Amino acid sequence: MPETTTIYPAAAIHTLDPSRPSAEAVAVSDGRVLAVGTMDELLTIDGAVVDGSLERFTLLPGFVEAHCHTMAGGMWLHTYCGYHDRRGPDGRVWSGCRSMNDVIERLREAEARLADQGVGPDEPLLAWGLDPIYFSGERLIAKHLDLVSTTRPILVMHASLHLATVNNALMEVEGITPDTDMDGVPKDGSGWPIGELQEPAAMSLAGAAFRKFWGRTKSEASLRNFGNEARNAGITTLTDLGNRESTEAAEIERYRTVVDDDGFPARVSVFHMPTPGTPEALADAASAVLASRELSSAKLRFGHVKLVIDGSIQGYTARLRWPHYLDGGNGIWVVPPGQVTDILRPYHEAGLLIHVHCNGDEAVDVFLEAVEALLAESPRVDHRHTVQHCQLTSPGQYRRIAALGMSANIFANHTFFWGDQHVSSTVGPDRAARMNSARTALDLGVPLSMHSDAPVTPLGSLHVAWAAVNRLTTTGTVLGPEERISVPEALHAITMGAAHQLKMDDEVGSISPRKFADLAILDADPFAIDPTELRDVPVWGTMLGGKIFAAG
Amino acid sequence: MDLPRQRLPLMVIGGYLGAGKTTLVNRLLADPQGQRIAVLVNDFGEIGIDEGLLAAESLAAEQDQRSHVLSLANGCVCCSLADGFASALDRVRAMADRLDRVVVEVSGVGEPGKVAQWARTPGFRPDGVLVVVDGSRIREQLADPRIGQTVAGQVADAGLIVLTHGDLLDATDLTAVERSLAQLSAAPILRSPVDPALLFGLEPAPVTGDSDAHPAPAPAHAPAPAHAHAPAHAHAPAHAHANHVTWSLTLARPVPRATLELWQSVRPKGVVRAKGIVRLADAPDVRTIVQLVGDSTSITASGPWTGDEPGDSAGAVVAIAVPGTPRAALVKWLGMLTA
Repeated sequence: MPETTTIYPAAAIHTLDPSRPSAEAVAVSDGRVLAVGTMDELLTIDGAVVDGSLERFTLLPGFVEAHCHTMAGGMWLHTYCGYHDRRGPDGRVWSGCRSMNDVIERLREAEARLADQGVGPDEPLLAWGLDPIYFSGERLIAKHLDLVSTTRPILVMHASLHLATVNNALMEVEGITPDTDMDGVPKDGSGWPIGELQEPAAMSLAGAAFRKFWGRTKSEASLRNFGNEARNAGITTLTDLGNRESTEAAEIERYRTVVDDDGFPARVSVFHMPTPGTPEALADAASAVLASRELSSAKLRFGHVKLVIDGSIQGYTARLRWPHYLDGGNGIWVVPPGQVTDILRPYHEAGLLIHVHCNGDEAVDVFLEAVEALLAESPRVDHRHTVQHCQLTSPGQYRRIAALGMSANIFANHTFFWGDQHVSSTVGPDRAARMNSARTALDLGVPLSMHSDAPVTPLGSLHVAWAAVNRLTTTGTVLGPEERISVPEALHAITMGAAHQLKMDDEVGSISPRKFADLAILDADPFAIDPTELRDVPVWGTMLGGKIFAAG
Repeated sequence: MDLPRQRLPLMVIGGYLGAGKTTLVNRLLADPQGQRIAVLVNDFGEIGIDEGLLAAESLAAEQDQRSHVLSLANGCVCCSLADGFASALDRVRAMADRLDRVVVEVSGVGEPGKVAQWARTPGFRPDGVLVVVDGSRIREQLADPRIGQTVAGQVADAGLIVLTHGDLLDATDLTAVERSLAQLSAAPILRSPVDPALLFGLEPAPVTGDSDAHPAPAPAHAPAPAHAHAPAHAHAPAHAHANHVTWSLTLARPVPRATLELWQSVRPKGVVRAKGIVRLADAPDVRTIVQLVGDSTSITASGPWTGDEPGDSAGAVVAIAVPGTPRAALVKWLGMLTA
């Protein structure tokens, strides 16, 4: 018999459970949903107490983000310089930097803060999110950052994470000089490095600042930030999709310390990323991943696998079938296509769930061939192997995905953030209109989720759903209207659809009896508003396991 | 200032899955020419690095004379935007005083030229891009729509090509394979098995004293302007099993810088490595170190000229070439420095 039952009436409750899609109230006991129903029904529960604190809100199941990276929380340990307004983990809304002057002003404020805090002059000023493609005129280089400081090293990471801009103080400390001889260190007419460092080898020349930038993303503070960002977005289940250290004691301890703390507002499923090795080493790794499941808790899950096999479409590195990119080129493989079956075999045979990053359709073919081969060798039921990103997948491929018992997790945010570039530069208007084709996937019976891939795009399930429902680009064009899906379908994808792919659909993803009492607490009803406003629905906070967390 | 002797030579070994990269690495580890090697591995492969050849990480101590292996994560070398590879190289830097060189085995689909950029980061210097090609499968691979572009890019990045499984081909096919590789790359082609001395043989040379620690096969003090010479590890050029040829030249007069620069740019086909400690006419008070590896060159100053340098009063150069390289071409090339 449960100890205490609390009944939360709400303005509207959408359970995402078709057996009882709406309710007047939800009864919570011992961190779980005891029942949903009318007030009259729930008041029959012995000893139940009514808590009216959520009565003006709309309740949905807490959102489930099935493709993000927890290191994204560490970005907020640096100064935000991006183009779009963005809300930090503490709730502060950082206005977008719309010009180079805005960037310099933002950095000056950060410099003043460091000085006020008495931070020594050797400690670098680190910033992130710079998106200069939106700026007209001169590009940001060292001489501009020198306006912020000529003594403190400054590193500004671009939004793509492929470039960094540094000031002259940093170049002096790290010995980046006219003698520096490598690709990715452009120089001015007099042979002096301009302060731009392109691609990781050149970026690593930024020495201590570069290492600190990434080092902070692996901290406990980074993880806490990410949990708070999730809470602000109504998300109650997160993923770390691809962590090579997920079976190592120190990393497991970091997760346990942070996630299992009662103050951390989300569940996290940590996927293991294989380290290259021989078949024997992979078999050992598969055993270790399987064993790591025992270390799972109600909030923290280990035991699934993620592999990357191609690059990104906006980076021209995803592998595309004919006719490839508009410029005639094709992308890169991250692992040899002929080896994918061998790499996945030990994990498949160990009974593990496998998610594979396939942005391009050629990569999808390779993954599907591998799953077909593995299922012929070692049949499994209900494996739920998942194609991640799945951006250029054809209807024929979706039919294979469905037939193989697989799922698709679509990168819906792409339409908004890069749709215009896909039309003009990467694949052209026809294929761009077919990208992230959620409508096709659903019509062909593919279990569907959609994701942000934070930090690639900001964490936020309602934005992801909005992108799939409206398919609007940054410039306001509707890209591929036939591939739009309905609000209920989109909300299903970011709750039950994602929970299914994480094999957590009997625990989270809907407001149903026995499931965790994980709720998104919203200030408007997404089923009742204009679908174009879906991303603007205010999130008041979340409930996780019966505990209420107000957004920052 | 980062003196050349403090920078570890970093060699990149690329090539498609199954070409024989790990076999080559194991051969280098088995016969490391007295050198301690850190191997960074980024490959899913049928065979692994032979652990018996390595020092356990936990045993890595000052006196440890063995080599080390570090593995890298999926996608980490070429694609990861985070600091995965930088961290791995930091680990190598931290043990640099126990190492003589670094070998990075790139993933079977990795871009070796891109990875070689890391050799230009602090603590390292480029020591060539070696691409292993499976002679029995290369034409099929180049024609494969999925991987053809990847394999062609790897070959194009090569400073040296190592051709494996050539024994599975008849002479006509072998010539055809070498011709198709030559269309993609000007790099010399070595046929496997490769003598480690060919890849490491000139390293490390004592640049500033300390020659007891790592005795180098220093260029001999020889009177002739250029001559074939049996190196210290005794692979005479005329020997039936010889799989490389070493030539050296001593220098009696300082070399004009322009001559050195021209010389390095016109190396004959077949030259795999060359190294010299040279007194330049416009900088007679310093040692100038010239290193040629595959198609790359570095010319650096390293400390004062002491008079104790190997060779004659203006130093010496030594070159290694693949078997069959015409003697006349090498004699003429080395002779440019005395002209």
